[in-house]
Amino acid sequence: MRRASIFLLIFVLLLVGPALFRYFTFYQLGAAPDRGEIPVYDPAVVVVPEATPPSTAFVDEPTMGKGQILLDVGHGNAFSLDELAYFHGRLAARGFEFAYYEGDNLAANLRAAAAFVVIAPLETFTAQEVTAVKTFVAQGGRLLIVGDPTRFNVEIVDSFFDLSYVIEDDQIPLNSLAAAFDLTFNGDYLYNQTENEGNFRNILIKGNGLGESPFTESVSELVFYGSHSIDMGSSATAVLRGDDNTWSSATDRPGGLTLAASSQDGRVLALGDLHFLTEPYYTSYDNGRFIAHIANFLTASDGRVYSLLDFPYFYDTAVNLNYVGLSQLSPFIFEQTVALQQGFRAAGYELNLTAVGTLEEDSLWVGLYNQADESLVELLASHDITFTIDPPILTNAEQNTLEAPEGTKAIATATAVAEQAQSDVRLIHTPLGDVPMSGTGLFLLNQANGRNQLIVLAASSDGLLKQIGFLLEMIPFNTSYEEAGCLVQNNLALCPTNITDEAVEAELIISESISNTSSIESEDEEEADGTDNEEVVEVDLDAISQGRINLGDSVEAELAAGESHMWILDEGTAVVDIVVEATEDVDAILELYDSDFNLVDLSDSSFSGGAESLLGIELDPGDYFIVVRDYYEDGGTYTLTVTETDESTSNTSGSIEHIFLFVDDTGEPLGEGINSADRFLELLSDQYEVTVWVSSIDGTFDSLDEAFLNDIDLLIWDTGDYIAESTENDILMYTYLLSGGKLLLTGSAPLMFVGADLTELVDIQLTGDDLFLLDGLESEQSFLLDDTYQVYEIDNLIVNEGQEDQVTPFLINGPESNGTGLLRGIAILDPALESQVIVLSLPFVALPEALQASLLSNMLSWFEATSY
Amino acid sequence: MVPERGLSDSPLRLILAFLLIILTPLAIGLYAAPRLIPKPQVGVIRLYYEIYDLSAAELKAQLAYARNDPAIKAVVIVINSPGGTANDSEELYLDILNTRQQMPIVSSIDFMAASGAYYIAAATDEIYAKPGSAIGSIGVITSLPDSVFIEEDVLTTGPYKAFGGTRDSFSRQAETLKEVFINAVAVGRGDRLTGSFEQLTRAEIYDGVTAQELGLIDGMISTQAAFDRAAELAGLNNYDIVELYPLTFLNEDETAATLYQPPSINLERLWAMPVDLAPGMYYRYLELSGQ
Repeated sequence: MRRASIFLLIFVLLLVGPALFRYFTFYQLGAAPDRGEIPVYDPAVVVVPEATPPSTAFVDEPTMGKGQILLDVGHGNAFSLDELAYFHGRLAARGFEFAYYEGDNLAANLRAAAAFVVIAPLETFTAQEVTAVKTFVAQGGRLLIVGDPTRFNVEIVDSFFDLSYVIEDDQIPLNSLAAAFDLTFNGDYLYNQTENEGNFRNILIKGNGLGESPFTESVSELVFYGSHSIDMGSSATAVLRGDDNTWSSATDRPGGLTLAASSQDGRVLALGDLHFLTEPYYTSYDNGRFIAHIANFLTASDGRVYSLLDFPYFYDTAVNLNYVGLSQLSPFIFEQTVALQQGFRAAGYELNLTAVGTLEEDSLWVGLYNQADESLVELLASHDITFTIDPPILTNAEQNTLEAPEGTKAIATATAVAEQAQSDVRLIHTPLGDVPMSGTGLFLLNQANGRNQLIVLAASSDGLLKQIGFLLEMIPFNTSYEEAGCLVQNNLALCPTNITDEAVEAELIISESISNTSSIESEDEEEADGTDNEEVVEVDLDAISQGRINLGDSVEAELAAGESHMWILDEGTAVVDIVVEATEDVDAILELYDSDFNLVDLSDSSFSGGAESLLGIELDPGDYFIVVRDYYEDGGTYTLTVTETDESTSNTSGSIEHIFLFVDDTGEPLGEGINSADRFLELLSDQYEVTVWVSSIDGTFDSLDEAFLNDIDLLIWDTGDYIAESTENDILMYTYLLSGGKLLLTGSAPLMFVGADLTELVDIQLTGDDLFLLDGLESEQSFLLDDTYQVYEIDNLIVNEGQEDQVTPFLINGPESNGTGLLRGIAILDPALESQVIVLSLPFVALPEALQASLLSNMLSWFEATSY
Repeated sequence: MVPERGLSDSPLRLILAFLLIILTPLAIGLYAAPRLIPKPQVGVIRLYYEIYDLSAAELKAQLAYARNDPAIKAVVIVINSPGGTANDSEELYLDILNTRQQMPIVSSIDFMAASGAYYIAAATDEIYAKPGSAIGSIGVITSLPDSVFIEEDVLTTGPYKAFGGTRDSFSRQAETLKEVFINAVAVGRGDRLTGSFEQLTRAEIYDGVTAQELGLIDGMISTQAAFDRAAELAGLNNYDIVELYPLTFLNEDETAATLYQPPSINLERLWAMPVDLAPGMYYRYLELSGQ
């Protein structure tokens, strides 16, 4: 039994021994190191960050103003305009709009700006640009500079083997500008891991972090979404500061960090973040209120101080244009006025022509030194500017009042004129010194009682035209006083007109063409005795008299370089053809003037060597002046022939056959957007050939072929109840008038009066006693309109002194309307241009139906009967 | 007289008895011992490069293999990874915790265990690295959605159905996942974690020395030493090291698996910026600055 047990034990040992051996070989004896408890992970215990609290209720209450905010887009700025939509809206609510600086002539661009905004530029500012901004700020301009650490430059590195990029987030090109104002943006971003708005980089600013300033008024908590810190110099103050748990990534140290700062006595504001201005971040906390404060800062009415250099942006309101001492308007004035109106409109101003200048309004006064009236002289004297014109220069009207010795046609020799000129004194006495009027343009800005008057004077019409041209170039920043070589001091500028031997003219030439004044040497010169009794007749034609030419004559003459010839024609009533044939080297221009030196007709249709002709010209008794010029002023030989003909080719013949109806419906409607085209067609198409051109369908008026206008007998320009917009249209229309055209202008807000105030018209009244216009109608008869119409308030400005006999009123505002008695319909005859214009300043279709047919018939009769 | 020899005294009987008592149990014991007590193994799982759906699936399969193979008594995860998708990192974190119920798991960081890779390491029993290893980047990176819009021909029943949410809500979600991440690290590391919340959520990359100071790792040892430590934690004296990848995916035997040569690390790939990263939340280290 015992042996069996032993055998069994051996058996078992041998059976399990190998396993035991392996176990003890592989595994440690004793307990393995304590691994501790396996952790239990439950993500649900995580604290979820709080959502952004609703923004503080804030309603922006802006104060309306007007102006431009210049926004820099010329330095690779890392933002899009979409991002600024809300900010732009806050500025627009204050009446301000963005203008964009694209990198060309910052100083000029700043002239128009109330403030300059620079956001995240990736290119540095030049020294000239920095100087321009410093000058701007010194003049009270506001500067907002915004950095943002998320807007950095990425430089592409194109090596031989690789194309890679480098993010230049530590380079702040903005500092090239900010440093000039004691401010430096650090190449960092701020973070706060202790208390933030959802993310370490969203910095909450509250409590002591809100510095005392207008920007933080009623602001209790702001959040910046990624901000640079800003280092400040001694002249700057912190507007927003981070708390002690706000760190800078550049130093990795907390505390004492500024997120927004101002300098230059509060005229410069620097912000370390852009995002808070953008959607949706402007809704967080008090960000919206803070943005409103920034908008107030940029649009503050007490900000910018404007000077003469800032033309035309020193004006606050609509501007009155006054031609100094001018008693009569003309197409020449129209052209200048329209050009100025367009320029002013491009700058955001309305320019209205007025008969009398006043210091109570923003205004632009233009004219000649010799025509400065008493009030202007007084105003100039208040600026220590006086004139000496000795002997006095008489205007044509003044000369006519003088009794000339009978039989002397007042001719002077060139020598006498020269001697006379040498003894003349025409000086401007200014605080800058005395300067001759000849060759000098004067610009003076008078600022008083919050109003601005710019006075522009020159010696001659040419000189004035150049100065006006200079002003027009100033508006789009194409030039400056400095570039024009002007001497500028204290809102006074004296500018060269660059006209050699500029004459000091008596009065502004109001005909179409402007040229230098010269004296005519006529054939009577030989009869003059050369004494001091000779009277100088100044003729506004820069041409040398060649004597008289008679019907049937053909003369050959030699033009010297730079010379023009004038021939006198006096054949009584006749219809003539005038032809100039020039040699190959002459590009002739043929002009015909009447005895008052008004341009009758002009021909400049051929190139060098071609003929110019004026055919079928109807002459009245009196002197006519034929002027022959060479366009290139090289000189050469020409032949001038004057022959009588039976055929008049003037397109101003009385009968009307072809009517061109131009419907201008592209402007903004004042009412329901009506025009009178259908009614005109209904009334006219039976008797006349009527061509209808609708601007919204067929294109603008200026898209017409100019030659086409020669084929029409009457132009009806119908603006309905749309506000006419001045464009190149005007020029073509005036060209049409200059060629002696007939124009019926009708509409609530017709061309020529753009910018006038609106009034309500409910009735009209016939007036006057014109045989044609009131034929079959009764003067003082009133008609109630079928509706109330918004129309321009046309005052009497278009009927200037001396022009009364050219204007025939026939319709006025009725007794029930505002401005009873104000002109509503007038007919204008321009003898200089032989043009006829009827202005019916309400939509034709607004007239009572019974009146439409008879009045239209009368107007057509008037056109035909009074035709030149 | 010669006494009669009994059967028990016969040589044949002795031989039979020897066979029955000695050889048979010994043979049976020798045969059964390796099957009953196999030589223990330390399985090696390698987390190389990014964590994404495929790499996460491979790791999970290897962990499952380890759990199902009785010879595998411990696992060492060798890490060279910048992290990856948040979801896959969290999945692996939970799977490792689950596997730890059966065996110790040790992390051995070679070059990098950043962000999601460290998230995974935090689930293991112990983490070892080298002084020059790149460790940390505890945080979330994501891209914010563009501005929302509606389309004429696409109808949704909620304002953010087509976008997932507002920029602000994405920002909040990122912050929430940051909290999840740091909480997972705190759970995994327990009292060993000495760095503060603010310090760790700076999402910095640390070297091994600093990481040990902050309690992010348990020491700086070689990978072989990490195998030994895993074996020690598993109570092993004598063990084999086997690569789990060929065992799991290549159907190789253990001998072949022992001889398996893992791929070497391509550092350029390890540090490279991801290409065409899909929208989403990432526990991933991205070196945005510089080249």
